[in-house]
Amino acid sequence: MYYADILKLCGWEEDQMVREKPRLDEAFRILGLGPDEMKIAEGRVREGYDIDLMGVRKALGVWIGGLIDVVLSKTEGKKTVYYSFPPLGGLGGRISAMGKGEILCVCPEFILDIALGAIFDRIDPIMETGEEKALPPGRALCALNKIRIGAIAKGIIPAPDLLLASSYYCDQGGQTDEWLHEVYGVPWVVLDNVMDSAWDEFPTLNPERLSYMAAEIENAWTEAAGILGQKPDEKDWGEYAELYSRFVAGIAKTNSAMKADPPPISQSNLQLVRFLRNATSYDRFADAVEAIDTLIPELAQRVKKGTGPLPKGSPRVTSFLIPQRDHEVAHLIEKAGIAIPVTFLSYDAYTGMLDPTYTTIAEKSAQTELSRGLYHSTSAILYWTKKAVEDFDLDGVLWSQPIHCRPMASSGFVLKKAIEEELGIPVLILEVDWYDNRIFSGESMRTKIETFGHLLAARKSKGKTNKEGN
Amino acid sequence: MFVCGLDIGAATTKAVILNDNKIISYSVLPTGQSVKLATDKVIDEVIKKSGLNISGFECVVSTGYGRHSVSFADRAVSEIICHARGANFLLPSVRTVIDIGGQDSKMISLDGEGNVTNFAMNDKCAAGTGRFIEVMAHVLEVSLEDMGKLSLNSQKPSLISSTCTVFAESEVVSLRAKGEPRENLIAGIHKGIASRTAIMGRGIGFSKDVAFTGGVAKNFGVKRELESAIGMQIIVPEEPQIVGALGAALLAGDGDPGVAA
Repeated sequence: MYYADILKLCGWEEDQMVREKPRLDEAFRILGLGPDEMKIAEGRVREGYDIDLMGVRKALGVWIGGLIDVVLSKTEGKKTVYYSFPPLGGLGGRISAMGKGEILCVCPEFILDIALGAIFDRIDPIMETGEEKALPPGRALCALNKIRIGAIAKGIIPAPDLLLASSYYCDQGGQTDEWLHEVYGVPWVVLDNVMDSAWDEFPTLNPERLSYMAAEIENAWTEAAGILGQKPDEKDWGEYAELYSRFVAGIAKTNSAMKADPPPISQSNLQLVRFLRNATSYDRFADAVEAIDTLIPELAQRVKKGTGPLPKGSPRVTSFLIPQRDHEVAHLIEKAGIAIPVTFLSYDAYTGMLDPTYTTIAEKSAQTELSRGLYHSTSAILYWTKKAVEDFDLDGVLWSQPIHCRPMASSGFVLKKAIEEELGIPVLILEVDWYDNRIFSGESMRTKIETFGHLLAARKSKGKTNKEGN
Repeated sequence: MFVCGLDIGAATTKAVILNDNKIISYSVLPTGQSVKLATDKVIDEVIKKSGLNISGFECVVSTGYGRHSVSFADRAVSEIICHARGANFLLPSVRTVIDIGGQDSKMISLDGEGNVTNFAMNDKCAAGTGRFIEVMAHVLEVSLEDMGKLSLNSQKPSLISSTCTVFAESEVVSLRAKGEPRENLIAGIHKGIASRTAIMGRGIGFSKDVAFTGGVAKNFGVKRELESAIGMQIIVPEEPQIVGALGAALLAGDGDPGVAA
């Protein structure tokens, strides 16, 4: 087994490898991953990830497992359903639960971005195929959608049996799925949303908006069930929901650990674990829970010892998301002495105060998603950022601005002005693409990050001196 | 105590030697294909120019895009920090530095001690940089040195609307073919750079006094358009290209922490 070393490094047990050998052989053959690619992946994992932490290693293993599952789904007779990123929490899980393991409902581009991109460094050819087929380069089009189209067009992943098209957040996801619907004849269910809340509404939610979103979710479940020939099973959903809740509780515990000074883990590693919530298949979700459950005591141990990738007292910032395709970006930030204890997509600052009068699964799901802020508005993201600054004792904001993401491409500029004026802390806007590292200059980024680190450290040390002087 | 600051830029490599915060000598050479060759050469030359028998430096700080490639540097510090420090040393009243180098442009806000308080830098694009002027000079068959002088003869700067260097090049070729005078085109190019720089800088604000550093600061056509765009007078140091290296040398002298090179 030429892949034994990398899988072992990624937390796979010997018996699991033996059990899944025929699947692994076939999936790696389809993916074109041979002994050389395994060596490259091993080097990248050792260099880019905190392999002293078994929770991180297991998470890497779950991503690889998820990749195998999606590549083989059709040949193994599963009904395949794809949803877009960012997903609606629970939607994919509920659809998977309906099929009692016979349905694979995943966000394939996200799995490919991490497994094939971050781990194996083999995502660029897939993006290029996506560009050649449908989404040309140089036009500010989403890299994740390029991956979705490119991977299907290259035959790396199958065309699915159903698409859950996401126009609830961005038009590009919907347009990509429309393309797949037209070209491959894949049935699709469209989820809509309205993004025009009043500026000061958040964290209160507009009831009409919430009800509309809940109705869309309910409708998607019903339509999807009909197309897939399934009937929603509350018992199966309950089991999945329990695992999902455990995972969310695990994320909350990691957030508590990250409030420590120094934070016990690099954000690029933590993000890898937390994102399992958003993209893992039903079959792998128990493994995802095990990964985060393994990580929690490991982080607690580090917090107790006061250790982490950066020294105590390092400046602390938040970001929306750290580019995960290239872990070097997070490491560049850390090498400049900046800690990132929290990112937007991993900290549910407002879901602890949900309105109990909403009782159906769809209503609860809609309320949770809108309270997370992303699907609500730019003002909600700003509101969240101010709360994160307070909750995590932050010294600045390092906003990674995704220039190819239509809903997010301009929010950073609003955020910079508002945060600097209202909180008086520095904000650096770093123009990136979270999923495509072909479009930014590493050297220019390094200059900005190092300068920002210097600026934050000087402010922090001055503040400390002032406090001591007082 | 001799200390040295090295600024390895996209177009040129600069070195400054200081002794007790006094400039002993400086040198500016093209970077060329090899950072190692360029740094070795610039060090040899700056020592030669000093007229002293310097066998080594107490401390060397490197800056510029090649700062992490200098094996003998004690520390590497970003050029934004170095330009602020260097400008403060030469012109203590300066609170804003506009630095336009070969491959990027930066706006730097600084305090009275030369510490950076805010900054903005161009993203992923050569528009508004020295490279942009270089490409345009090539298209118009004018030497870089003559660009500023010629632009002063313009009565009506051309409107160059493309913000991309490649598109602007085609636009300039097309306007030239239509008979647009060369001096108007050059003035239009300068105006475009000034306008983009001013837009970038408005995010952090322009506070008096404003200094202009980097190789492009030698082009007084760009300086004039920048003054018009921001509505303020701009001071250009006597040798604007060495401000980053000077800042690096000052940091070498005072042991300011940077990133290990």
